[in-house]
Amino acid sequence: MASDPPQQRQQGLRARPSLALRLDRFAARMAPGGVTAVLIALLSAPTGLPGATALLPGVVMSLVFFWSVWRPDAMPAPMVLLLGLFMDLIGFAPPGVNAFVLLLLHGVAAHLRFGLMRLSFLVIWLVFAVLAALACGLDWLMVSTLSLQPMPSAPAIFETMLAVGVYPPLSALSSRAHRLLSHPDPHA
Amino acid sequence: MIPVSIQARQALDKLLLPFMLLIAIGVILLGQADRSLTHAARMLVADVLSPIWSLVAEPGERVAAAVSEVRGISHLAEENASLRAENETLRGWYDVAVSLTQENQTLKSNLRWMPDPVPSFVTGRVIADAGGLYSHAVLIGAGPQNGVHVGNVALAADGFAGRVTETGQRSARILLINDLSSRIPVTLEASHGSAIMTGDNSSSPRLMYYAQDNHPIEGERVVTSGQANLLPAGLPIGVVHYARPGQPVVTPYARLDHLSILRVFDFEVASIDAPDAPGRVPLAPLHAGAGPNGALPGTGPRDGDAGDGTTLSGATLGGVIGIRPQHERDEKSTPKESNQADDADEPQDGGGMAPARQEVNPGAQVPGAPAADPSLSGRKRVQNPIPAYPPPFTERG
Repeated sequence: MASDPPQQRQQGLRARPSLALRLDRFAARMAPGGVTAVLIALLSAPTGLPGATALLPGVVMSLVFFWSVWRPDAMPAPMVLLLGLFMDLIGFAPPGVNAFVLLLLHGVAAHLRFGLMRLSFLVIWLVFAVLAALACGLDWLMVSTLSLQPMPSAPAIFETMLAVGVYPPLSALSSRAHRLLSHPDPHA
Repeated sequence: MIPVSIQARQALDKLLLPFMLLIAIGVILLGQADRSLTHAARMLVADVLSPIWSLVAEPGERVAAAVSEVRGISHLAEENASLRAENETLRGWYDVAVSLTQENQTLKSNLRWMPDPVPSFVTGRVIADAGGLYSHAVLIGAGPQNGVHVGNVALAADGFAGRVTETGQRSARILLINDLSSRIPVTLEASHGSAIMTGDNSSSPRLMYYAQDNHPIEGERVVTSGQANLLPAGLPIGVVHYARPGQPVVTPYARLDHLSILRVFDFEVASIDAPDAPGRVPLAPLHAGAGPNGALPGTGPRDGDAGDGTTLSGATLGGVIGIRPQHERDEKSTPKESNQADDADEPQDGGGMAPARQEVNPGAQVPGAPAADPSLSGRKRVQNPIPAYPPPFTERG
């Protein structure tokens, strides 16, 4: 971390980390959010992937949930806000809606994290399924309210199912990344 | 960073999430309050990302083409046979099309059909799905620099796809016809009805507001209507299909979920100005009858028909307003097309309206054969200014 209190350095308790180390930590801290942003951009491109637009919220929710539980330092609230706004602007949704929903998901996940980390994968998946369903429902409700007409509910249900389905593979990949990446702030 | 105590930092950490939530709510409210700001931000993001998306789209398209090629190889023989059969059929249709085009051309020249303006168009690649979950729109890699403007019409290879709703620098967003907020006035070709095509986020938009005594017919073609000056008439959209009894939908020709290249047409429909006072009969200017146009040769042959007095001064107002007010009203409501000579000419014809119309084209006037069918020639001039409807011959094909 670049912000060591000066008096600590004078006391010689901790050496100031080198530039390379600081860059490395910065990259590790930014990696989950950056990967998510790249995925948002790629899934919006016409790749010919069926249901890519419905898959996108599920992918983002899975990643935000995973990192909020396992390493909230790498998925801080400002990052979640930016990702949500990016999604809103790309997807031409009412701006701020996805940001709000993702922030709530992040908050709940970060709040439950110490309880969740002790549980098995299946239980975490179940919790995610419930949270994803609530998030998709809230998203539907907000979009309907803001556009002053009830939106069709089928896409929201489809979105929830895709989110639940896409969580295990993304979770496996992210667990691997979680082990490979050095912890951004081991002293925190 | 400012050195802060551990307690203060923990307190700040706890406040971070509520603060971010407040920002998100603020953005929602701001987005509702100031739409133009939202549009600008969206198109900025789209402009920045459009080169990246184009890079992604191109190899993706190549891969799709390669896959379909490989798939085609396995069905080569049967595909060949079916293509040969189709070619036979199409050759027959080609002959029909050529003869109909010829006939159409002849009839149009006979009718002095006013040709529709030739639209300019640009072709762009679809670079992103700009719809999200609850709307259907695409982004193309062409913007105002290339001549794409808000309100332009986007056609896929085989039919109407949507309209341009927002433009950035290098990109434009096209709202597809199946979006929830899309409303398109359409004409049904076989039943001659008109309706509004309403998107409902499904793949086939619904038909609404059709006349209750003239229901859409299963399988008939749906084309755009020129009413409301929104779109040019006659663009093919799709065919009528009854998903359920009493609920007609349109099956679009364009494959709305697999758009890759779109042509964006600038039809300049908005440049057609309505007459100043539609539906009213403006008084003819008094001095016009005495103008030099009054002595055009068209008046001569018709005198016998009308059996009226031929003095110019006497025929002026009485001829226009007193005798055939109905026809005159038809004429007056379309002043743009009638060459301005109309207003000056009308006052002098003694009774019938037909000869007055012929004066507009003095070259076509044969003095010996006065107005073989005056009513027809009169109607001709009235119909001409409405090129919006497809010519009646099209039903034959």
